[in-house]
Parts: sequence; C-alpha cells; structure tokens
Amino acid sequence: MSAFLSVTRAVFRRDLSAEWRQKDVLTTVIMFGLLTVVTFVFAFDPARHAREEIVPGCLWTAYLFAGMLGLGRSAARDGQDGGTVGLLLSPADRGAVYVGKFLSHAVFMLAGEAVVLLFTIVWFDLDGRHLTAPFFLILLLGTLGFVAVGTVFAVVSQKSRLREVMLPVLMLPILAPMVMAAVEGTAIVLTPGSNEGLGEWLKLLAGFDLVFAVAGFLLYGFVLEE
Amino acid sequence: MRSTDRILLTLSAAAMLALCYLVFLYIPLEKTQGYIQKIFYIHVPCAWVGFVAFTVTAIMGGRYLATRDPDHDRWAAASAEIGIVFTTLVLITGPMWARPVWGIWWTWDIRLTSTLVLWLIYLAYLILRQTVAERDRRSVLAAVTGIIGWLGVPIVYLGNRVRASQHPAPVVGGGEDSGLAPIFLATLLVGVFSLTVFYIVLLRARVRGARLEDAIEELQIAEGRDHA
Repeated sequence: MSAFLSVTRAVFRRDLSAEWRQKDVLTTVIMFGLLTVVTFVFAFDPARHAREEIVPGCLWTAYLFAGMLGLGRSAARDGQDGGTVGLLLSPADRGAVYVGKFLSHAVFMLAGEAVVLLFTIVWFDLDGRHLTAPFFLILLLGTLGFVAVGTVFAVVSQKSRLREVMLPVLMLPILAPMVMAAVEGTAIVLTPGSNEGLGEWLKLLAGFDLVFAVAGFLLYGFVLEE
Repeated sequence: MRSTDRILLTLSAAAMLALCYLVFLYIPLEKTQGYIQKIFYIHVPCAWVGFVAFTVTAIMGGRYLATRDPDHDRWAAASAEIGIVFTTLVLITGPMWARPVWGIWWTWDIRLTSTLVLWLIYLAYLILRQTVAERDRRSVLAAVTGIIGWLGVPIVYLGNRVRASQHPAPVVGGGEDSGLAPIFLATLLVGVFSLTVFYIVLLRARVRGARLEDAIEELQIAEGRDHA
C-alpha cells in the first residue's frame, strides 16, 4: 500500500514540477477557457438572456473545451519529455500512476477553472447568492468526472494519427451525461429560489465519477503500455 | 458461405417475410396513429440489435484484453460496424415516425439523445481504429474505448428519471400500464428474431472477412521482407 502511495505521490509531484517550469497546461486551460466565455458573450447577448440561462452552458462549455486541450497538452508533454517511457520502464503499479495523473490533472483543471470563474463572476455579475456550496460541489464533481475520463483518453488520442482531434471525438459523447447533469445542476443553483431537483443531478454526477474513476483505474495500464 | 450461415440466413429471411405479412396484411391498424405506427416493428428491433451489437463489442474488448487473441478484437470491431448500421437505421426510422405523430423530426428527449450518444461513441470507436496503424496497439486502445463507451449508456438512461420524456415509455416491461396485445407483441418478437439472426449472419461474415484481411496483410509483409 505504501508503495502504491509513493508512486502516486511521485507521479503527482513530477507533473506539478513539470507544469511549474513550463506552465503549458494552465496557460492552455485559462486562455482557451476565457476565450470561450468571451465568444459565448458575443454569440448570446447577456442583455437579452437571464443569467441562469446563459452562465451554466457558457461555463461548462469553456471548461470542457479548455480542459480537453489542456489534457491533450499534458499527455503530449509526457510523450515528448520521455515521461511515459520512464514510467513504462519502472515497475510502478499502473493504477497508482493513474491516481497520480488523475490528481495532477484535477489540480490543473480546478486551478484553471478558478481563474475562468473569477472573470465570469465579474462579467456576469454573480455574487454570494449564486456562489453557494452546491455550486462548488457541482463544479468539483463535474471536474472529477471530466478528469477521470480525460486522463485515459488523453493517452489514447496521442496514439491515434488524429491526435488532438481524436480527444474531443472520443470524450464528448462519453461525457454527455456528465455535461447534462453539470449544466442542469448549475442552472438550478443559479436560479433564485429553491434547489428542487438538485439532489438527483448530484447523484448522477457522483455515480458518473465513481464508474469512470474505477474504469480508468483498471484500464489505464493497458492504454499506457501500448 | 458455410451451411450454418445458410441455415441462419434462411431463418432470418423467413422471419422477415412473416414480419412483412403480419405487419402489412394481418395486424389491425393502430387507432390513433394509422399506418405510420407500423414502423414500430422495424424501429424497435433495429434499436435492440444496435444495443446488443455494442454490448458484444464491449464484452469482446474485455476478452481481448484478457487473452490478447486477435480474433476477439475482430469480433468486437465487426460488431461495432454492424451496430452502427442498425443504430443509423434507428436514427432514420425514428424521425420518420416522429414527424407525423409528434409534429417534429427530432426532440432532445433522453431516449433519442442516448441513442444518438451511443451512435457517436461507437463512431468514434471506428474512427479510432482507422487512425491507429499498428495492429496490437489498435486492438488494445479500441478495447478500452469500447468498454468505457459502453459504461456511459446506462448513465444516460438514469437521466431519464430526472428529465421528463416525450418518447413513449417502454411498451414491453415498462410498468403496470404497459404491454402489447398478444398479436402485436408476437409481431414485434418476429421482427426482433429476424434482425437478431441477420445480425449474427453479418457478424460471422464480417469476422471471416477480417481474418482474410489480416492474413493478406501478413503475406504482404512477409513478401516485402523477402524482396528487401
């Protein structure tokens, strides 16, 4: 067990220090996330739509597209700097590697999402009435589900001729239930009044996270070794 | 064609003829929808075969990962290809039925959405197979994708309990009020039987084709080595 944890910790710290030096993934997530939000504002005039109609879709679309590019960058970096080869040469437990990658990707995503959210708060005039505990819970659960799937498919897509195109092609349909639950849940939280129906979406998100985290944990080794 | 396939194909064709007879000449018209309701007897069996086919892809993917037997990968790939064909038929016959009955071609209802998502997932699966050149690597990546993709399907269905649905509830085994008169149910089952057997025939033929393709590829590689 302690060997498992030390592999997880080593992978996590390696990813964080590589990111600290290059800042590729965070730059990708933040810049692309902000640009998606801004594009949304151009596409849907906020003056003509209620906040709860536009913000949930805008935020999650930004997170998804920015996140896919970010995870693609992370996997490409592992391929380029020999990180993957090093991992394959080591006798490290593949499940432990997955957990380490999962955690580092979650940290990158949550950090990038926080920056995008700050701008969104200002641009859409959100305040304490909207940014409640359930709001952040949905954000966390949605992000973990995204990362659980994305950590596996980032590696898969690197091995396809289509590379960065393959990642969204594979991920977006599989993420469909998570996106639906996250957007609907966020809309409920942002709508003034009761949070009726929120529990069902939270359960769906938690179930999604659990199923795909377990699947990723079990299948990541096969993908990594090919 | 082997004798087993000949028998299966004959069975499927006979059932299809019986289905045509039942649908067009025997069973009475549905009271409110009229003729268009008859599309039900091909729409539902196609959806059934699509779901079975993708399930076979996921199971065969798992068996490939466990055994590394290339034949399991061939079964998985063949089943996904056929599943795409039948799911495409579902997505064509659905709107043809919806337009006159609901007044719209499409609605983002959970059953329609989940079928579309399933179709997109296995389309991605086939694209992935096309874009990974090396055979063992392609088989492993496809197996993982086939399994993870399949896991998403029940979760999309869970959304059904949360969102209201315009699509009719399952008429077979969908609760107390559900159920078809025996003759309609029998007709549906004839359709399911015909297309399921047809799926098996296609699957066996496609796997044989894939074995030949791989054998040819190996011969070409060997020949290339001789010339070099």
